[in-house]
Amino acid sequence: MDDNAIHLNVNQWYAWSPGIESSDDWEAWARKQRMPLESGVPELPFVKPMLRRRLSQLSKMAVKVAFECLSKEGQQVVADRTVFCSRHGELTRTVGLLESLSLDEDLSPTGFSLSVHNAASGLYSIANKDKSPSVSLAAGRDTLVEGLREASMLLNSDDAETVLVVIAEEPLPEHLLPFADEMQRSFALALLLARGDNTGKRLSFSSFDSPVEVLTERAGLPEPQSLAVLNFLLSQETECKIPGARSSWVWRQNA
Amino acid sequence: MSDLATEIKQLIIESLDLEDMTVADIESDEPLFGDGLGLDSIDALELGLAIKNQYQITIDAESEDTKKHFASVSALAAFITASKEG
Repeated sequence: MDDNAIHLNVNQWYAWSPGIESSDDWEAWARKQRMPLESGVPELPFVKPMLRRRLSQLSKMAVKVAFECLSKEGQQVVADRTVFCSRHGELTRTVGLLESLSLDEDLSPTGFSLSVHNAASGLYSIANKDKSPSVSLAAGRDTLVEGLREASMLLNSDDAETVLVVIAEEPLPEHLLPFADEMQRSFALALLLARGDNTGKRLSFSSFDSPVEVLTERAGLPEPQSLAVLNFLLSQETECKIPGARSSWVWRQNA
Repeated sequence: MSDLATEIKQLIIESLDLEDMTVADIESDEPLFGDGLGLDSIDALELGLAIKNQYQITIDAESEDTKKHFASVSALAAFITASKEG
């Protein structure tokens, strides 16, 4: 076993992408029998309409997966800590604000207040009445890896027994698309991690000095790291190498 | 209901993303903030901006009267009418 590896117990997961919601949908997706739709909005019956109207598409997806992942036999639970991750966050709102500025228009107060990176975390905490500490982070292509590393540190050093990790992404605004280095997807994934609990799925990752061929991208842009990891979680494979920002990551799971 | 009141209600629904509401759901005399419609301080700023843009009127954020003008749809209609005349 690799001593530098981060080990996690995944007790529960939930993912959402337009047209792909149930675990059956995701299994069909992993077998390449189902593709996400172009667009779609997650339903959030558990969020009051007056709060729901404030959520961007990105925040809707993040809050959706957080709630569903924390729903246990119809009861809503909370985790001891939450880690909300997004590579680009509320960039759609930010670009909208910049466009207003360029046209000399006044900025929308709602858009301005919810363009911050912790918008999803804040809205989730209001909606689920969850007062536990929360972290919001972005780490380029390694956003999921760093979110899980953060969660692992919380589980090992803090008095947290459970940590909910949420990652949500949406396609870049049109002006920024030429800079894309991953496939552009709308999706969110939540993983409920537990300390020393062997009931869940054991998952680990460690960095890997990859020979050139592993990092060579096939034709076109690579799949976002988190979707590659979800694909691995849904497979029968026990090991998988996924490219990251500066190195590759070796992921392992119990079969 | 005056045309201006209907117009203001439409503006409230659109600018504040009140997705599930129609003009008929908003009473002209009910309070917009707190108990009535249940709008909050961010809505006040957003609505102020929408009114400024649509009716080209200046709203003084410091003025005590502003609070009265934003009390209800009827109060807003009276305020807009007076501002346009003045």
